Amino acid sequence: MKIVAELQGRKHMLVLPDKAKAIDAVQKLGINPETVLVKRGREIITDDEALANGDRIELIKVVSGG
Amino acid sequence: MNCSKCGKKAVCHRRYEGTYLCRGHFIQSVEDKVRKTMRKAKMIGHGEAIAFAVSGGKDSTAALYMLHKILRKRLDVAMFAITINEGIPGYRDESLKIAGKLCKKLGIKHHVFSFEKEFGRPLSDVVKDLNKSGKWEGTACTYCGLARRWLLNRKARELGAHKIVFGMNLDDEIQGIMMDYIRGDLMRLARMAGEPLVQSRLFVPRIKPFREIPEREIGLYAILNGLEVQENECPYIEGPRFKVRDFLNTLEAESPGTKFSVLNTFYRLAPGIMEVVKHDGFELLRCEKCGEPSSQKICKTCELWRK
Repeated sequence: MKIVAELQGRKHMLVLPDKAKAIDAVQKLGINPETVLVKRGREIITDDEALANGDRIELIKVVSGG
Repeated sequence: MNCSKCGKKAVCHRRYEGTYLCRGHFIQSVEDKVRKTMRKAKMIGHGEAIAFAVSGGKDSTAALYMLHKILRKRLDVAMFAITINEGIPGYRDESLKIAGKLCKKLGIKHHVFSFEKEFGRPLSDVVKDLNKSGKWEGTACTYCGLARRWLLNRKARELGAHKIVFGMNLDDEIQGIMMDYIRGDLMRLARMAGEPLVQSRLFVPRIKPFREIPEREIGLYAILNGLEVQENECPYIEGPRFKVRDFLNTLEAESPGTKFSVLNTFYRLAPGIMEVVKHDGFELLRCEKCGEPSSQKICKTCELWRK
């Protein structure tokens, strides 16, 4: 499946296996799942939520640095 | 996935305890845990004045919002907020506005103090000078952290605060613990145990109600409550702490519960660490330059900022 993941204003097109979960998209981008939250539409979703082809998700950084 | 308590759509998966929580149950759970932490450590006593150290970041903003919610019915407790403007162009201006807006919304008096006024120059000038001379004694975070703590303590005391609330979360706590282990700094470790090493009216005790809440959950709490928070990072951050942060996050992702394990082990060791430090001896002096409490004749803040 193909999805679009947005992180800090940058959009990334990701190709993931069928039945991929939110955490798979996060890890595909090389990001530690401990450091982000995932939003689909207006909802926060859990890291093991199943994704569907064409989904658009946003990764929100929640680890501070200063 | 659905909430383990009510079956509604989950917004949080706590892998460290194997539960899913919906919006309502997540918020309730975090607030209950914070109440319990505060009660257990007797953080806020009758008739106390509480100063909130508010930077405008998610942790301090969430701390102000949540504790105001918890304490607003306690008429014996007075609350006000303090923000330190370090003088970091393009970073602190935004967070100052965010902190000010939230204080206004909650009806909390907001005091702002700056490095420029108190120490004669903003952090940006210090960094510029040190980059030129190369005479760094630590990183920008060393200079900033020392001056910020010094100023917060002095101003909170002058304003009559009995306690200062910090938004430090579980991740901040265990990063600090690991850093102190790595540096072999038993004195700082003992201070992190929660009990003051020495009683002094010059120190306003710091309380950290979020110390058992993971950083990710504080971020989620802020989002679910619609809190405006600063998202960009300080341009000066550097140092080993961030390597420790990444290491702990990697371990937690691979083995959920690692962060709590580090904290709980520290809690068990803390009385022993306290004994060792007391046995080694510790004398509290007053800095000859500024009069603030110090372990040396000249405190580290004056050493770095008032040469």
